[in-house]
Amino acid sequence: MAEEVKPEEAKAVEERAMTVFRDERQEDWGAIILSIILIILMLVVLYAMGLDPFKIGKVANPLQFVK
Amino acid sequence: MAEQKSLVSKIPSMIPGAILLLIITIISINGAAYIGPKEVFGIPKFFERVVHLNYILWCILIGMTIRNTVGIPSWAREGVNLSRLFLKTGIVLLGSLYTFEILAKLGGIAAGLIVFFVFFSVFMVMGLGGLLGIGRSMAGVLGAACGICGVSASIATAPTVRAKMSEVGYAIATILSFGVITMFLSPFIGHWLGMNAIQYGAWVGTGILNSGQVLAAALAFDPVVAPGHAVAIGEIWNILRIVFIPVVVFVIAIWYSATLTPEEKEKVGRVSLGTLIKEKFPVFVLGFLAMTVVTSLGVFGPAGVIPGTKASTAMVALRILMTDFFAIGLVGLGMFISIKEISATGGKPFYIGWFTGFVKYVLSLAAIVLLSSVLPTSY
Repeated sequence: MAEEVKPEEAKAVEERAMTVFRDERQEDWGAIILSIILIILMLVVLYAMGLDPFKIGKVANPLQFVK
Repeated sequence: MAEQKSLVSKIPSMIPGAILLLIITIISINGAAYIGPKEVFGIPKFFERVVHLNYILWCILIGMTIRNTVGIPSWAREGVNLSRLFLKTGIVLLGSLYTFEILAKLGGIAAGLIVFFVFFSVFMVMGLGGLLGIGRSMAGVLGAACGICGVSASIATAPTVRAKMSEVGYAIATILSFGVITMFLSPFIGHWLGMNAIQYGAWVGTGILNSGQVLAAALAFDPVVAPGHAVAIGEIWNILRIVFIPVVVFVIAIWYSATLTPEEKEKVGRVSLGTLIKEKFPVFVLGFLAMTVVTSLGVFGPAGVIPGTKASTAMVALRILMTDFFAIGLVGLGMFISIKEISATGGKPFYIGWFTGFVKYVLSLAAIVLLSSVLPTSY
């Protein structure tokens, strides 16, 4: 930015940006990497549960206890 | 490298907030499952059918209540800041709800609407900004915010129009405040008009200004994360819109530089579309497309993308993952809605942003109603 930026202004925008990342690009890569990790973990857990991930089947939401 | 280290060093401080988001999500999901089927005033499933209070609205409302009563505890701040990462991760995984055939089928219709409404909003803000004299920097970031997606687009546009951080913050606050109203109002309008998933998804994906709020409005209408449901449609529109960020930044940069002196132009530097695409293209969209490729190739077994067909265990588990990640992210979104901040916003840019947002919201609804005979009813 060419104009002077006050530290409190920068902080307010940072807070509104709702992110811990340096910029959008880093956050985007973070989302891609997290997705890959989640997919690998999911496959490991499904195999550990004795399920075949690639066959038709069902699993329950681990966060939902009330049916 | 130093910044990577600082991100890694932040991880311990993110954990308490992330756990808070998770606890609120568990309460919301189970609270909605418990209260949803209850009979009130003799009406079965009152909260689901009449109030449309599903787990997504619970997540946002609990998040908002915390923010506007006790505030975000300082120990939870870093973890709550992970919200956007969780939402983007959910959107990457969402690519598994489509095949390229479906994207091509809906993408054509979506592209026409998106191109029209994105540039309509950008030029409307610029025009009104010129008439009311709000300054070109402010008009530039506000135009991008109203045209595409408040947070990402205004931040991306700021350097090219030499906007101050306060102007970026102002633009973000303006469109987020408008979005809060539309996020809660849209599901009621959608149900009242008897819209199907494609009509509703297309409308909120076009008419709501912020990506997180598009997601929230789609899930509030229909909380199911599966092919053919509102979230699957709304996100096609939303992603197409986000892809336009570099193009919109380019157009705004040309408009802005038209009034500069040769010396000022030299200071700002020459902007090329190629450079903007390289620097500003939202790369998480590539992750979304990679998931669509994987689904189209059947890597995870039967995708169950066509209604009536069954999905593999991995695909079902992926949809549960998306549901949970969206819920956790939307708790965070609720925690960033400050009624005090919204009510403190005012002035000409605020009214221009709200007016443009309102016109876009209403016109996009009218366009979807008019196009309802052209839009498919399912895919």
